[in-house]
Amino acid sequence: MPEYNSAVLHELLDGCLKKNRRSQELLYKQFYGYAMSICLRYTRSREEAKEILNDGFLKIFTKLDSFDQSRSFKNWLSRVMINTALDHYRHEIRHEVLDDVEAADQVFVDETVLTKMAHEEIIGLIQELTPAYRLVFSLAVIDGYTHEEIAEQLNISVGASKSNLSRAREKLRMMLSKINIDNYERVSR
Amino acid sequence: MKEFPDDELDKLFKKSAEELDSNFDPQDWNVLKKRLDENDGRTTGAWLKKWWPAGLLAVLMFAGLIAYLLTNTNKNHVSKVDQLPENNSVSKGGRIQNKPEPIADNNLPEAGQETDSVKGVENNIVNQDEKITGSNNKTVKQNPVKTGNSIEIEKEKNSEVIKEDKLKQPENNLSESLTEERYRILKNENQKALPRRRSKAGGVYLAPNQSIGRSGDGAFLSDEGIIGKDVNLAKYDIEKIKSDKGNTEIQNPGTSEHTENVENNFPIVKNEVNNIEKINKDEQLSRLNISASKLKSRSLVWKKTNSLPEVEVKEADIPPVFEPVKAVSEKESIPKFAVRFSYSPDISSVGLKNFTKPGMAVSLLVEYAILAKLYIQSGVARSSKVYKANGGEYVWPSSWDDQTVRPYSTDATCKVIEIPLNLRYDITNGARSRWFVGAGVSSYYMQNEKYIYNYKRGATGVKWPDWDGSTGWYLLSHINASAGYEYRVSKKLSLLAEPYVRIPVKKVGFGKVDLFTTGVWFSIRYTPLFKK
Repeated sequence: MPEYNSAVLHELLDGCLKKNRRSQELLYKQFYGYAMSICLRYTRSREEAKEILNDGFLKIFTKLDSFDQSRSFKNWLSRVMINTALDHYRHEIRHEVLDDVEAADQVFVDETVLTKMAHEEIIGLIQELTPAYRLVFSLAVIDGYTHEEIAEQLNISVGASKSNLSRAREKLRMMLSKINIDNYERVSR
Repeated sequence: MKEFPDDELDKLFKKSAEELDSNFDPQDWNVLKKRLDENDGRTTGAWLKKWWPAGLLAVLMFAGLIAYLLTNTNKNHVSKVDQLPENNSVSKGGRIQNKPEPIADNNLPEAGQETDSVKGVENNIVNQDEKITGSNNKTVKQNPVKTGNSIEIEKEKNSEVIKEDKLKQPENNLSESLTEERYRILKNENQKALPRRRSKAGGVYLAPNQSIGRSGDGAFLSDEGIIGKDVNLAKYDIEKIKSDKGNTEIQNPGTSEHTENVENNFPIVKNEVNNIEKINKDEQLSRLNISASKLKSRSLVWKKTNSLPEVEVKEADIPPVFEPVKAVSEKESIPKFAVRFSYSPDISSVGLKNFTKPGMAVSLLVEYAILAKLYIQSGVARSSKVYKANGGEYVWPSSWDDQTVRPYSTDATCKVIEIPLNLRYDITNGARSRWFVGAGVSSYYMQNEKYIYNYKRGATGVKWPDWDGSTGWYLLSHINASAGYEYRVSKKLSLLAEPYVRIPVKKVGFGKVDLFTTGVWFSIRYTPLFKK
């Protein structure tokens, strides 16, 4: 059986099971960055991401006894964070107004510009997508969910999932193109 | 510049997502820590929020227990007082007397023949003691145990002598001796028995057997001598009894019967006079016989010394416990208004099935007595109703017609404000407790409704995963029925336990369901006393 979790992590998890605040704080610190990167791509703002992150950690600390320590904790944490984000999305879906994406023209992007972009800026582009596109794009492209799984999670059809992914990509290309143009104009001035 | 294909785009975002590492913000941990504390019940507020129903229940139970114990103590007290009239009678002059007449006063006409004879024996015993302790020191030396009791005997002797004097002296000599009052005081003082002063076994003192060559757990030593133990003493005793008989005759010729009574009542003594040499042989038998007779006689003496002193009581001072004042006053001053604060677990369901974890309900009701046993009550109750409904039990709004797929079940959490209007009737009405039944109607205000719709896996076209809102008033939507028990802690406060049901007569909520509710109200009832 592969050893996913280090001895230190096991010790931390044991402390968390005993509701030891110090152990919980250390675990939180250790996985804060990783968990935040997940939450950021499923939310529209950092504040919302923090809210989901804390909701997710609260679930982790209260349901830790259900975690099988022979499996990867990082994967479990990732799944909990994604599910928390999906719950958050489901709760807000009633108020959502889906905006249609106009058919975009051919988009060209300068690679040199992209390399200069920070990771936060790139993830910021995902946050600018509408929730439906953002979720499908994140689930499909970054977290590797299949369209069937996405359809089940979001209570949509597989076709809708594929369509949303395609439209999300189009949106992102447009945004990148816009950044490219802005950058070109700034340099040429 | 080049076209940006899907895989390139995906790679760019995937790489950024993996490499993005946000810095830790301690403020975020503080927020989470606070939530964890609340969740674990480590903050006072969280602890109260989590445990207040249990705490309230514990307080109610504790108060009930205390009240029960207090009531029991009162009952015992009352029952003790109630026993008084059985033993005592209140004379016309307000004098309380012992019914089994104490033999204290020889001149009382109620004293029977047997009592008189016992008194005679007692008088003789006193005289005999006098001789043992006073004039016959030689004999006392032979019996150190007896000497040990001499002080007590002396005290007894004093009281008895006083009584003797009183009895012997004619009425016209009373003014020269103690007054009636002084006699009574002295008598009472002498009746203050110390724990070891008298044996509990009818006044016969049990001492270890100190006779040589005799084993056993003790011999009877009494004022009447040590018959069967010491022949010399026995002889002396008998002679003394005889001489006392003579003395008594001299001092009080009218009481010559007493000595005869002694012999009649104590055949063993008579027997000893005739067969003094055989005592040693019949020692064991004699001891037994004497013991029985002595116990009998001493028990009567003990009664005498234990008799209650006569107490002058004015009629006004007689405790009111003999009169049913309480019941009358209660009926006269039944309060009209009462206020009740209640807590109950709220168990709600649609169609008496799929019961989930209970919610909670609190209520504040006002009661008004329209008749002695009939109350009208109303107020407000707020409840959190958690229930599960099957898909078929829901009526779907027409606006949902564009969604063809239907959920198979609904999880509901509704905050409901209820206005009940009930009648309560007391079936039994005791001094401290009562049983009652209640019935009435309730109107529901659906303050907040949250529904989560559960669809089958893979269902398509779902537009309504949940619903959150309020559908307002449902007048006279439920019939109430209840039965309960009320226990009065004090004049103003009482505790109640009241199981109840709310039976639907109208469909309520967004899904128009028949919502059935049951629970048990645990209440504190306060009866204010208004100043006139």
